[in-house]
Amino acid sequence: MKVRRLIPYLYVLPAFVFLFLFTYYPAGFALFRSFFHWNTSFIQPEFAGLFNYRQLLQSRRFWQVVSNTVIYSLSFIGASTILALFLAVQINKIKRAGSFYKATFFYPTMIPMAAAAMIWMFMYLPDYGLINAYLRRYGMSSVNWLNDRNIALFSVTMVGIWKYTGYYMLLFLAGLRNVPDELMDAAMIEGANGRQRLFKIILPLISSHLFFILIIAIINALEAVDQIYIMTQGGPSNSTNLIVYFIYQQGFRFWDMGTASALTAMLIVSLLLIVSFLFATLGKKVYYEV
Amino acid sequence: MLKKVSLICLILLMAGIAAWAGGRGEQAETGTVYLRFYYPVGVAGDHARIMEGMVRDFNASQDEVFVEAIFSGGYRETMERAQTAYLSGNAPEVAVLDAPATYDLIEMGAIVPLDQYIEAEGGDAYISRFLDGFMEIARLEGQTWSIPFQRSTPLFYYNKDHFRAAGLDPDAPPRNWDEVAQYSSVLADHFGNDGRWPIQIPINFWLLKPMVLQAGGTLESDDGRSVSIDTAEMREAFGYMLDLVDQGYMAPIRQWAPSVSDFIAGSVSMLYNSTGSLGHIERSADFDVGTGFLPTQQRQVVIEGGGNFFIFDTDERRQQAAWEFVTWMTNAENAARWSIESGYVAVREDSYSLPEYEQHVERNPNAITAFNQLQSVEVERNFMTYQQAQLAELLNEVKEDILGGANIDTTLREAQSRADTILARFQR
Repeated sequence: MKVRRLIPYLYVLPAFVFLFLFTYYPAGFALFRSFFHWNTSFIQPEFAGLFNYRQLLQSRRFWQVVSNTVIYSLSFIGASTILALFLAVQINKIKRAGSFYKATFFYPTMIPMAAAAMIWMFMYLPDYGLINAYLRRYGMSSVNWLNDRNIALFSVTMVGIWKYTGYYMLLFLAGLRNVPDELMDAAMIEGANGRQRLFKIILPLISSHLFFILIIAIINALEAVDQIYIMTQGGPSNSTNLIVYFIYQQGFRFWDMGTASALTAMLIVSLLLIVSFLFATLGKKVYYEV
Repeated sequence: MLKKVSLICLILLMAGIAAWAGGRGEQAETGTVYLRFYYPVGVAGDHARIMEGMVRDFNASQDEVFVEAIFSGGYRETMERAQTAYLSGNAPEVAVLDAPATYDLIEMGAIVPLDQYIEAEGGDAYISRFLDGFMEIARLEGQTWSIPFQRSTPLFYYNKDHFRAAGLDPDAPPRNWDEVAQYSSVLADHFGNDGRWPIQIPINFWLLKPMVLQAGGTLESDDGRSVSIDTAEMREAFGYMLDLVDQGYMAPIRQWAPSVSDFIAGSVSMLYNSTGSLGHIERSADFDVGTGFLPTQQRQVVIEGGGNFFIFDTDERRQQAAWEFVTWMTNAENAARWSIESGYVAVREDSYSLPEYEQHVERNPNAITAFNQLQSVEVERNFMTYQQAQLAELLNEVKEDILGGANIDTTLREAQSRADTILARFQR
């Protein structure tokens, strides 16, 4: 009897050990090392107190990266979820060839980000890129998509939206399956308009999906790095430098592991705060029963 | 039954591992020395293929050393990879790295000075065969830390067909900044501005330093511990580029690699780039390619650039083997071969008198421009400081800021204070 109760613990043990070794231990180690000088001058780490944090908080560059990341995240999360919801609601109404549209919109999700970034780089080329070719054909002037510091962040955000919208759309579609037709029919008969149906019936019923999509969209936004590395390397003028690329830059390009650890610690803590805040507020309102 | 089988399997596995580990240990004591060699490709072109071919020939030429050539991306990526490998205790034995990384490599204790090996090779008699301009960056505080390999200078490329069409002399590239502006205006008048630019100076600190020197300034101190960004000469260099941008002769921001594609595609008529791109440009362009010295201003000066061989601090046996490899790769014949196939400047004087090199120059007159430039103008070393990667990136950013329209005074002042912060821990 006793052994039986132990068995589930044994089954989760390997996964737990794995997660501990490769997630919680490195995260804790980064937090620990963030209080050390650890760079090309200090090959052996040396205690530095809050030095790394102070340096970061005082540097304009850090705040530029924070602001880039916030702008990227908000526009990415907003645009991709709203677009995904819109597409899902429309595709849900399509009676014929629905799966064709689903597959088409989902396709970008299956392309690895590195390949997607290469495709977009070609589309963004200033002189012979696809987008500027179209612009010129219709008499508009070319845009320097990746080399203009006022536009570059928008251009890399587009890649993120393009890649993830189809995925979120598919998740929304799964949620819409939970909205019973009878309920919608009843609402129509009672004279509810489109907006009322969306906000009073659909959104509450798919709130568990919406909540899940929001959480993964936040994570997708904060972990964005592939397209930055390939397309802009954070430039021009540091305008597309996002937090994960910044960590990589400090850690591996400049080999300043102390600063990189401090950044990692800040990222982990803020992610934790955001997610627990969301669970404490929105998470309470989510409707799980169907 | 099943238990027995699995027990036997386990025993076999253990025995296999033991034998494998033992075998490797034994191999390390005698027999072939195995070397890992990291190398970058810093310019456009199929240099990886050329490099693999040379390393294969080295391996075939003897059986004491086996080198595995490991392509590691551009200069930056290769340095990242090498320093991370070193700091995690798994350094490559030998690498070609951007020569200005030397201060940082010494600081980390990653590389060994080569003087004892050079001495055994014949000392000065050996080292004096390398072009003088390329040795300066390898020698620091009385010791030699690297051997020149894929060396280059900035070079001025121009499209002779465009020059002819616009009525410019195809054999007289612009010699100074004013002439660049004049030529640009002629080219712009002839070709218009529909996705075409007369000139391109891609974003890169390596092209910024020679302009500052040409204006009569300096960029960094010899000991690599300070950088002067907020200077009159820096403003002059930017004045030159900003004029080109304002007149519509140059796209404000273009990166290094695409600028070469633009030139080959014919959308840019004049280009600042590296000698290392010569092979690729000549093979790919379907027009008459011209090369010239970098247009100057007050001072006739250019800098050198490119990668050197570094030997990592491992053990005496592997360091010796790495040295054998380095001397083979940089002997007169191979320096010539590398130069002929890649377009880089041959690093040794005795390469230039080899019959195959003379034939090559006869067929490709552009191949000798960089060498002539090194002989006829002053040569200063590449931009080299502590924290070089970080400061180089800072300079690139300054260039992007200013050409992108930021205020020059505030940008330079802020960049200066950032550079001072980065170098603060190196002040003595």
